[in-house]
Amino acid sequence: MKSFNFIGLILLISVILVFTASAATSTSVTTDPQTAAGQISVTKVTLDPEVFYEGDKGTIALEVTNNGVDSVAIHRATFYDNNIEVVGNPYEASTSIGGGNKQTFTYTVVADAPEGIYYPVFSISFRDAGSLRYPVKVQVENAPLSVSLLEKPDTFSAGKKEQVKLLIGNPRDDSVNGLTVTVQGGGFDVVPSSYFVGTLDSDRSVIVPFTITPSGPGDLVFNVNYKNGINPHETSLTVPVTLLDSKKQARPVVSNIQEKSDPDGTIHITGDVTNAGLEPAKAVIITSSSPAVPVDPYKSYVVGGLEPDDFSSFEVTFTADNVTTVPIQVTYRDSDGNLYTEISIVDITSKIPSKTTGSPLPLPIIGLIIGLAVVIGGVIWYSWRKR
Amino acid sequence: MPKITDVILSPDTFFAEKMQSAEEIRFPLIIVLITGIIGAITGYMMGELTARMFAGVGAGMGEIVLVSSFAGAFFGVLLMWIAGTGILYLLSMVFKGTGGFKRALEFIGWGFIPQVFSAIIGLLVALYYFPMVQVPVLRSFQDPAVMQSAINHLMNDPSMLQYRQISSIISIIFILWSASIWIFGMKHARKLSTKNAAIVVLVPVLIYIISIVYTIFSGIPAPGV
Repeated sequence: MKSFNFIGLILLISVILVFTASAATSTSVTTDPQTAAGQISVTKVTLDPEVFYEGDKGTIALEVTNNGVDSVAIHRATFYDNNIEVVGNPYEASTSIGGGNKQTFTYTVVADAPEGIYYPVFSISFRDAGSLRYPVKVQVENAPLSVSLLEKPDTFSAGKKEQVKLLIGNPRDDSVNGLTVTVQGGGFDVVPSSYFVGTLDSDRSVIVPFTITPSGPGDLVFNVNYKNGINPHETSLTVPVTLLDSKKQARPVVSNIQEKSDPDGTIHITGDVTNAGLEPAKAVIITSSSPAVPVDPYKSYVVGGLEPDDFSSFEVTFTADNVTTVPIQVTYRDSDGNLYTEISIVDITSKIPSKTTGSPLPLPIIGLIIGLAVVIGGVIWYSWRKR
Repeated sequence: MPKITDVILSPDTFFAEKMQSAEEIRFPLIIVLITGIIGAITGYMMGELTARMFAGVGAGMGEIVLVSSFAGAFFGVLLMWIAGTGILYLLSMVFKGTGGFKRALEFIGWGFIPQVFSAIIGLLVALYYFPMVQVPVLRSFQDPAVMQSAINHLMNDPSMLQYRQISSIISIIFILWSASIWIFGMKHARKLSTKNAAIVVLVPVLIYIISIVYTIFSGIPAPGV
């Protein structure tokens, strides 16, 4: 009885295995190639750059997924368009995509086409079925980055530091990278010499500040270099630098001049110096200049700093010969240490003793001299007559 | 023995008679020394003004100026006598003049008599004007331009300017008188014609006068004025 049960169990298992194998055989036979190819789809498209400039080189990567369980044989994959040039066709050979697998097809393209939107076609030919066509949107746009002058001084002055700010905007539909601003041109000192921004996303802008110290007139050229994918691009902005007196610079004005002279010939000039400019004047020093000869006690008068609309009194002492006017020199510095000089002419006619024209000789003296001349003339005449 | 007044009133006769006697340098030397001493007093007064100008510089400077002014004026007259005689002596050689230098020195010395009067009048004028002069005071020797400016101020002070004008005119009048005597002196001392003696004397004297006139108009102080 026991032996019967064991044999019966083996038979039961055998029957189950035969049925199972039979069922499995009947399933594989029912999946045809058309159905399997239908499980193939393009699941992801990646463009680099996302938007091309005309002439840009880039890549288009297509991710193909087999959503079925059976492997699908691919005869070849192609990518083509009349306007967008495809460099090479690396997927001519047969291959297959296993069930549930993914495969990426990457093509190098050159956008040798004018601005516009193009649809190059990605095509997969199946070995045992038809084919898959997938148009890819490729946009060609030539809009450069916009560069504008956000801030600059009304006038440039030699040696005076001024700040210039650029606003760089990205009006494109894709981001650009490696953005660097450099400055070209001679006759000025620029800090920083270049400015690295990096990536600038679409519809974003960035402010780039520079400090310019000009030494002469010239053109300030800002070059904006960036990359779209792997393609370098450049745009520039030129700012002419013309040196003029700053509208805001300090302007010391000498007024309320009073003169007096010492018996020893030293002339004293006192007055007020007012800063009529819009910027502070630093280290203001007042002295007389040639033909006047500065002498102690006030060869130079150091006023120091003068804020706008501020004033200070001063006194200078000097000697001067044969002159009716004397230049009073005001030197000062701006906040950058640049030296400026202003000259004011002061009339000192009444304070200079005359050199060659004294008062006329008194009449008694003239009479005495004439008398003396007559007497001596008579003596000489007599002495010659008597010889 | 000729009278001293003959030098003034009849120099031709005076020197003609002097030629008969031996050379005598003593009296002319005294005349020149008197001129020198009076001139030195005037120089001392001028030096005093200059010393006041340097008073602010430091002790000792004023004394140096005073001594140098006095000595300069005194020895200047002696030098003028000897050097002047030398110039006239050399010029007279052009006209083949004969006669010793000592005789010429003696006669030119006699011609300094008008210079005594000139020195006295110059001293009186100085005594009148110098107290009115405003003297600039120098505070330092550091800057030559300042020094020059101070000296210019002193020389162009109105009182100083008048003094210089008057003393210049007096100097010209008396130098012409001396020149008149020197013509006769050189005529006899170097045995020249009157005309040649006049040329010998008047050429340097006129140059001297021109220098004085130039000084008055240019404002530069001339030596001895």
